[in-house]
Amino acid sequence: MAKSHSTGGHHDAAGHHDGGHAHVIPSVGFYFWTLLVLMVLLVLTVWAGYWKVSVSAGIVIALTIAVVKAVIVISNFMNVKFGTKQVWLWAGAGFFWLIILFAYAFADYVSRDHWMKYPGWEQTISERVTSEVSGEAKEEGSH
Amino acid sequence: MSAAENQMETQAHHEKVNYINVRTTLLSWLVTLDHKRIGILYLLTVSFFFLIGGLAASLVRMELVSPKGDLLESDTYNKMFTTHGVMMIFFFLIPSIPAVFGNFLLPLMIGARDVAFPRLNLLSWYMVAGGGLLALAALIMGGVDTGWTFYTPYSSSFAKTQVALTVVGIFIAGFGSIFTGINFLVTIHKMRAPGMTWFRLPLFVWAMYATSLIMVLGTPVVAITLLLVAVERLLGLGIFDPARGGDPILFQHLFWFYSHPAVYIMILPSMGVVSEVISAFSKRRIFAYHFVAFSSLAIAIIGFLVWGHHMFSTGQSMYLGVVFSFITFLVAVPSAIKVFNWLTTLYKGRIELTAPMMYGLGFIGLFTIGGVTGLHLAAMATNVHLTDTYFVVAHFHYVMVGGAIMGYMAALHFWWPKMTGRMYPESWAKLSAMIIFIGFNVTFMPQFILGYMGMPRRYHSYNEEWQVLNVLSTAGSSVMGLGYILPLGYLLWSLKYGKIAPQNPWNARGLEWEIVDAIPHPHNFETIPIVTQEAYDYEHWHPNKPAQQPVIVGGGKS
Amino acid sequence: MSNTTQDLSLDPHGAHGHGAHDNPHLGEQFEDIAQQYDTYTVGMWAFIVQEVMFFGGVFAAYAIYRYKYLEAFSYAHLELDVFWGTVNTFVLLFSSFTMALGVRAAMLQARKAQIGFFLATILFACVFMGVKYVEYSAKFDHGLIPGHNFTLYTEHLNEVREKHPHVAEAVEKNPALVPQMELFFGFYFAMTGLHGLHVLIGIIVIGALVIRAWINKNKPLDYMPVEMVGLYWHLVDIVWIFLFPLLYLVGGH
Repeated sequence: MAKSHSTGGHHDAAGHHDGGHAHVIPSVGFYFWTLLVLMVLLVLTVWAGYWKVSVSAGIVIALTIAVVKAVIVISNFMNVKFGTKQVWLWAGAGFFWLIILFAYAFADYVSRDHWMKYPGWEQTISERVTSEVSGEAKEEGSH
Repeated sequence: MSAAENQMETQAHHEKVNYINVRTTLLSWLVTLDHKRIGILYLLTVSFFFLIGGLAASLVRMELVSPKGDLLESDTYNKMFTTHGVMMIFFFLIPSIPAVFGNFLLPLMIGARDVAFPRLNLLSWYMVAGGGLLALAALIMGGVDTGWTFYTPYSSSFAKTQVALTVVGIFIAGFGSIFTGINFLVTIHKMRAPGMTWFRLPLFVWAMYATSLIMVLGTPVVAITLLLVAVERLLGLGIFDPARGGDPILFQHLFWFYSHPAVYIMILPSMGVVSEVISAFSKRRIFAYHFVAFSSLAIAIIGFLVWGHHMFSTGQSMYLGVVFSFITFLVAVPSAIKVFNWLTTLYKGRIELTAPMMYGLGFIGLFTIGGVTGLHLAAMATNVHLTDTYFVVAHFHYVMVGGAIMGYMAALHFWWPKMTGRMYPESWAKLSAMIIFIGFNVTFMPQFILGYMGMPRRYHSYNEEWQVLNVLSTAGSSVMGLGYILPLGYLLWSLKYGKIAPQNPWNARGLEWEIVDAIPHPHNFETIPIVTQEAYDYEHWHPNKPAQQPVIVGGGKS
Repeated sequence: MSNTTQDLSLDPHGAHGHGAHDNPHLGEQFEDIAQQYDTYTVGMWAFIVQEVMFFGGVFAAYAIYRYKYLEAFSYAHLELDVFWGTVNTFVLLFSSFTMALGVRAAMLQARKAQIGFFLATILFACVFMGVKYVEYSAKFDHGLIPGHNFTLYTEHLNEVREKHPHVAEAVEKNPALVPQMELFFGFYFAMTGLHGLHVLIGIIVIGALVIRAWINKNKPLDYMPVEMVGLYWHLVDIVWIFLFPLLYLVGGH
């Protein structure tokens, strides 16, 4: 690899760390308001737990509030709001990747028994196995 | 070169400060923060675990010489193949290329003084080595018989062997691997020299990036899963025990969420090595650089979407099976892109059949066989026939041994001069490459046939009509064993008697060859280089002219 | 945190002297403090990604069983005490607040304020662990320990009948629910235990930073590790933000 003749030069790894780092220092009030909103959401989620709704609706409500709370903590307390694009990316990466695990696992459990409902698959596998085994036993017994 | 001259050069060689002679006490190695020294520590560690895993494998193969289980008790046999799997996968293959060569080369290749977090790096080594020793202790205290997959409920509720200790060892080593992954990702993102843009990175670095992504995103899931198995054993929870409402298939989901991508942790680094080796020894720019780089990322990402193909015969949803099967076929696309690009690089190249090149070419052939037989297993119908037979064993050994270890051997020979300052004896190395290639094929090709005929894996006895092929396989494995012992001998020999290596023995391109000293300085670079071209500039290469000494003017750090 | 290393400080060429390193907290492998800051931040976020995946595994398992055993889990969670759960959420959110203020103080080089806020954070963390102790011992007393002493729904069903008659009725009708409820408490202990372990680690690390700030009175505060530990602590908070509703609330009361 031939090297250029440029001299000196700030070590700026392909422009990937943005030089002069302007540090944002949020005010105490900013953190205080964040805390207040989180507290309101906490009260809301506990209250929602006592609403007379179906379990699945309850899960949706609780998770929605939890996600909002988590996003607030990530953006305000963890200062992602003031972070570089790359920090945004990392902050989302783990949660995004979890979707793969959840999606596949749930796809399995939701659809696992479905195909057995088609004609010819009325019995569950375990019933088939038991009937076949007992059938064989009967045949042997008749010999 | 006369002996006297050699000695003089040796002295001159050794006067220069390098990462080896800068300090020589044992303590200085055990507390070192230098990525190159940590790489060497890993080399010693994984070689040791490779030896243990290899010994277990040879016991397994010896048992299979005769159809009756007469050498080992069935229990002992189970413990042997488990030891083989655990040692080879968790303590050799996963740390092998990333931890040894990734550590040694990454900062050299990108023009950095060290990895981003040197202390974390040392901690990772202690975790991998410590975890391995725990697993070894479990072996001494009676062994494990679950297979390396630790399938529940056998592992969680029934096995009377040292499952918990082994699992804890793997857990600790797993976190070592996660920390290595974090370290590499951050190093590649933030520590590149000026001008080292993403598309000037050597392809080995791209492969390490993809590998590290898998380590960080996948390993935690298997860690928590194995932790749950350990907790289930120790505290009596029933999460994976069907008798108590648990679902063993859930364990398989969580386990393969990591362990399938882990296969790519093993093979991707080898692909990176092969990209370097093929380009260096055909003296041609790698063909379609961008495709090779992005296919690494594609393999890493698609690799996370296919794990269910390990579970086609478990009672997993059939609809999901179809999806898993289809996406599994997709993995073949980026893999094939790589193979085509290597072959195209060779075309009209100035091919030098050195030992690393032989290993590299061996990789291409064997990996292709391993990959294509993978398609048989990805198809649901044939999978049902072939599940848990020797066909599967042969398939993944073609990928893991024929692929990953071939790449590892290529890397070991290719960068041996840089690591030790000595040349290995070329003819011996070529001989052992040939022996390994032949021995490997004689070992595993018969297993495809055995598997197709229906011989199940993990049994210590088998039907008599399968004996001929089994004896052939065992014979092949002894040949292969010889091929692995030879390098141990001549590489150690070369440390003292090998020819002194020049700075760039292969006339290869890349920072680690062109700028770094014959044996790297503790700080890697005198001044941080400014990079203006990509790593594969072979256009102006001429056989009679050594690579021009690169001119470094200026630099970041003064 | 200075990453000065033994090997790296040996420099015969003098090309890499300490002249360039005016800041005592700048590691040898970095060019300048901005690069080091970026590197630490990205490294910590990568660690958080792995923590998310780590907890994600057990959350996924929990979610699957919640789906499979909807009825049993809805009954079992009634034995958790929403009051203590709410108190703990409050405590942890407040500790996140004091942690954020502590990090801010460190940014402003306000040593005493940093130490004060960090001590407050440790105090809240200890309260959290105290409440967990109260909750765990209640579970021991009630026979809700999976695998060892899970007798509430068999031997002591009358206790259940007093508070939740419909649960006792359902269990009598369908005893198969009991192992599924045992599974719920298996997850309860596994998840809160793992989270509690993270709180404990947090207490230790924050304590170490307090001691560090205390000892190095005459040096400028090393701000970076403070922010990194702050990120970790907020992550612990986030995990609890999800654990609390999923374990204590969902399923009706």
